[in-house]
Amino acid sequence: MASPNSKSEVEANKPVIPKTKKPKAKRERVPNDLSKNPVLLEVDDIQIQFAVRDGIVRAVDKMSFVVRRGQTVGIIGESGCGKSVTSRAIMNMIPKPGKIAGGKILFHMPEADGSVTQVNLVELEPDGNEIRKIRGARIAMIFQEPMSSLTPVYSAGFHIGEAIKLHKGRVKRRTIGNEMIENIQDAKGLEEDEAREVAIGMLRKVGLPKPEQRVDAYPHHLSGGQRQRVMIAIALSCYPDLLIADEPTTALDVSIEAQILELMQELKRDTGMAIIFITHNLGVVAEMADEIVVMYLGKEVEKVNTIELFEQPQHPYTQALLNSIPRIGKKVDKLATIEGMVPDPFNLPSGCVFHPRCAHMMPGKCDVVVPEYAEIMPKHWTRCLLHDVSWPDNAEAQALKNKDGSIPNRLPSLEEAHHA
Amino acid sequence: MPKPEGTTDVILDVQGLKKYFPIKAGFLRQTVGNVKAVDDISFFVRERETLGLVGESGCGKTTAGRTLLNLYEPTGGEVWFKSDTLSNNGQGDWVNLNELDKQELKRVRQDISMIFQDPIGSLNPRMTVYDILTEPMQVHNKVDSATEGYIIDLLERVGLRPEHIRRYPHEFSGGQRQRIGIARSLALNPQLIICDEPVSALDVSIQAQTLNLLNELKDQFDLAYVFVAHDLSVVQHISDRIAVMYVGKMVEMADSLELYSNPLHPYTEALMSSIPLPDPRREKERILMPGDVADPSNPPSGCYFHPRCRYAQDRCKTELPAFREVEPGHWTACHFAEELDLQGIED
Amino acid sequence: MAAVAGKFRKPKETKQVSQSYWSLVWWKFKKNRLAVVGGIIVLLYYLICMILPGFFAPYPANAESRFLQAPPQRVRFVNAEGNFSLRPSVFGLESEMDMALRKRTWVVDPEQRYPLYFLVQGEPYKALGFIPTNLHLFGVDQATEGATGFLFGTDRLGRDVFSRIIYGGRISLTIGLVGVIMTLTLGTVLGAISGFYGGTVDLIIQRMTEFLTAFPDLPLFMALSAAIPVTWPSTRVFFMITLILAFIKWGGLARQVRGLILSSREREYVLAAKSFGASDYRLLFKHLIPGTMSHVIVISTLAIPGMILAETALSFLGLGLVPPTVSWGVMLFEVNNVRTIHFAPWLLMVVPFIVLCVLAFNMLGDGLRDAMDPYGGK
Repeated sequence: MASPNSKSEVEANKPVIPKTKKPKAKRERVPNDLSKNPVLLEVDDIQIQFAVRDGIVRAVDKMSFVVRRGQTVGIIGESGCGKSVTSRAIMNMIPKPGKIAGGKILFHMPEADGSVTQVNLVELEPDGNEIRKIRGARIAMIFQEPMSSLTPVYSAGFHIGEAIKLHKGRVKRRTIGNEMIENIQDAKGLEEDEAREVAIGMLRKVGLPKPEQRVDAYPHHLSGGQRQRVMIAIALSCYPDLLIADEPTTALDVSIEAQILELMQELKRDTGMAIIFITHNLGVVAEMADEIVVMYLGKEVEKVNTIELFEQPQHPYTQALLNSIPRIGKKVDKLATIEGMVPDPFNLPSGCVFHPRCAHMMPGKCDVVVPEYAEIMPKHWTRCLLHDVSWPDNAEAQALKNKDGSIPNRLPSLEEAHHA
Repeated sequence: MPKPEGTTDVILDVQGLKKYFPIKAGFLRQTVGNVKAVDDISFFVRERETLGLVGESGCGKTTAGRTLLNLYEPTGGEVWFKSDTLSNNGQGDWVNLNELDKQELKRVRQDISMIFQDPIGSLNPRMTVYDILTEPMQVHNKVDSATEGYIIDLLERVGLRPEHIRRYPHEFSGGQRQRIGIARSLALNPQLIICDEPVSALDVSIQAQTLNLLNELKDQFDLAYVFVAHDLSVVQHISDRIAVMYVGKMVEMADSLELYSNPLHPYTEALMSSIPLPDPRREKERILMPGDVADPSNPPSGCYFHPRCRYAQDRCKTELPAFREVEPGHWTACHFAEELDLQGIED
Repeated sequence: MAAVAGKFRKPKETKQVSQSYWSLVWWKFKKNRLAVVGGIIVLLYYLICMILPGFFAPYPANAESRFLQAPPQRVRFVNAEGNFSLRPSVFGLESEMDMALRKRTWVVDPEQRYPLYFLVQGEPYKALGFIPTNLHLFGVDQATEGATGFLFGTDRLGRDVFSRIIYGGRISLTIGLVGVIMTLTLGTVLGAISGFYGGTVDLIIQRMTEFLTAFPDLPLFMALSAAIPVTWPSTRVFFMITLILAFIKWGGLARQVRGLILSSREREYVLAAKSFGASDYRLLFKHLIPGTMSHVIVISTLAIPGMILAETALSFLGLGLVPPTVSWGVMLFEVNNVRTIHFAPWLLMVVPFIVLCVLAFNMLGDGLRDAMDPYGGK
């Protein structure tokens, strides 16, 4: 127990403390208008299938989205929705027995002279030279499992890629510095000592202590959390055009996660890099993403810019997801939950695959008709029979649509669902 | 130290709990140092209350939870518990768990149970659900003809079905396995349950279901929880009071809403400013903590947080702050708790 | 929350039967053809050599005859007239003196034809140790004067090699099995205690196993087997040899089990059991050791051929079992010079049987190892 000091002692001992900033009003984030930026990546009707013993699983069923330069697209969904597989498809790194069964992935590669070369990544040989030139140098990826031997492209570059593929043992003899410095030199055309300084700065930014020493260390000397940060630094050291981040901070502590997210934002500002950010953490995606795609069972169910997704979701799954997370400062008695479980991929429900778990299910409609993906509001896409445009065009569907009352054409709130 | 007086609804009173892991090196395996996983923490839990225990990796919260019920043998300190089983009059007697003999410790384990993090690892894959749930009862010789009915009732209360008793763990999903773990922890009708990151390994929507379930069961079974977790939003939802740990020490303890709106420790302030909030309009004013979390085998001198604290002064480098009640119901370990004006999360 | 009652559709229950760990293992094992074949072969070996040797072997193991070092009598499918016949038969042997080599040799005599019959009456023996009978799977008609059916020839005392392989197999396979069971018990219990308790107990047991594994096997074995009094009956000697082999080999298994226990000790289901007061005994015998069983079974299955080969090698050197006991090693002991191999190469017929046995065990063990981890942890 601290004994009370006399007033004069307290005054004399009073330290000089930096003033904390207490914001007077909530600062609003201005949404970026990125619609004029040139397109960087176009995922067009991509289908990914896995052939397993019991049949064929459609891991991703006709997904399309566009990433523009400098934009961050977030892909959210729960386990099994297909978000990770999508990211691997872009790099043509889908593990067997999966394969891309259809669709295109067009990479609009910016060249040094200002022109743009279009490459369909699906058509490239998965192990060929062409894709390795892109992988790492132009499109980098960071995974949740840092530096496990199953991820052949944790580091970047054409030269590294070969070493890893041919001879995993050789990878270990390259220090962190070796990898980063080469990347930085390639990307920025710097001399080796300048590149080394940049590399050290990057390691410091990802929160690695004693970066001057670590730059010469080998990855396997570090702890798991540190390796994650190094992997991020290596990926970012090639100044890629596009960064695919697959749950990069899920395994990290909140304070380190904060550092990494800040770093990614900073790099984005400096280099104009685009990011595809895959996560299940709604807080992270709210902060990082400009536009969000929500996935369920391999299909996109909603796509719109971030603010509109959080404020005006139009799909019941999104609504349920947003309501099921505990929010700081808003204490509720019971969290809203999504009833039931994700269905067995070989035993999918009829009509809309979400209908058994949907709070707004319309019997006779949702369990019969498969909704189409449609633009229900400007730049806001969803697939839900609550909206007129989502109904297919044929006669039977249209007849069913108006049976037993009309379509609300909006997403009712959860309270309204109680009284349905 | 004598048993706690005053507040009569306290059922757990931890005083100065320590758990050190020796570091052995050399040919003869000498002890060259200690990892001070839990270093002199004190807190209490009331009846029907949930105390959240938060902190980042390495802070010792999991070790604290396990040392609490003597799963790890404590290096020091006292754990006072008001046990129903060990009481003479059935009203509950105070016992120090660290000083019980083997027999008494085994008996008191009926009053405190634990839920684990890993839904896969916490259930023996070779046992049926029935075996898993009756094992606690077998250990305490409480199996009789009514047991099967009791187990089925327990299963239904956690949201599973009677036919599940014959199944094996691998036939269930992650969320269901956690429910089995929860049912197991209820089998002996405990007073207090230590929940060790029970929802961290689950999907977001399953987390919500599980948290709701835990709250319902708390009312139905008259339980108190110590809820160990690292996800601050989850902890805030389920806890009445929260204690924050850093590198084996407790740095702050308060009612949950109070902690978030009015933190008194710089670490708590920084931690909360780091949480990504699902509100895209809010512009983040983040307080970044430079560097890495301190090393529990070689912590900094004085206040462990001082190298990363933006308010650190000379005194912080030499003197360990005491964990004291700065405002009613609000404890913290900072020399300048009264002077600092820290920023919480506003609505 | 439900807008409509009964809207939640329960997924169809595809698997009605609950699958325990062992049924999953069996399922996976069945798919591995090689392993199944190995398993069948192993079972056949044990059936033929251990359970009913008397039935399968046409002659007793030590029945001497005048046909010393006779070559194998080839099975031919001809009848008395020399035409094809379904009934197999062998031709008799006549002895001749080879003057140049000063050796008696045996020559096939086509005049003598002994048909082979199945389920034939032969030398009496006790099936399963106590049922007196004289039924054999096959053989020549005893009534015929001088009929012989040495499929693999005879050794220098005129004993049927084929029958000796079977009887020898009984001893070798039993040593393998019993030895491994002893090793298993000793190694598992000590390894588990070592891994579970740690501290001084662990240290002591560890040093013991290290000492044993570091000590050169052969001198140790020689010393121990030399200590066996010559006067002991063969069964007791046999038991001692098994014990000695098991004693030398338990160290390896103990280390493996210790490692397994160390890694399982901190598993959450073990901690859960501790948290509601399970005793050490329960933790070890109901949770930890059963968890190691899959590994132990695999290790043991792969250790049996090692035991068999060890006995074979030692008896071949004259250090283990000695005649009149018959084991595969003892049979090889009698072939341990070049001269014998040159003049009676059929005495080596035991070797392919040993090889096949070891191969079969290995295939079985590999298959078990693959099948034992059907989840991969998930």
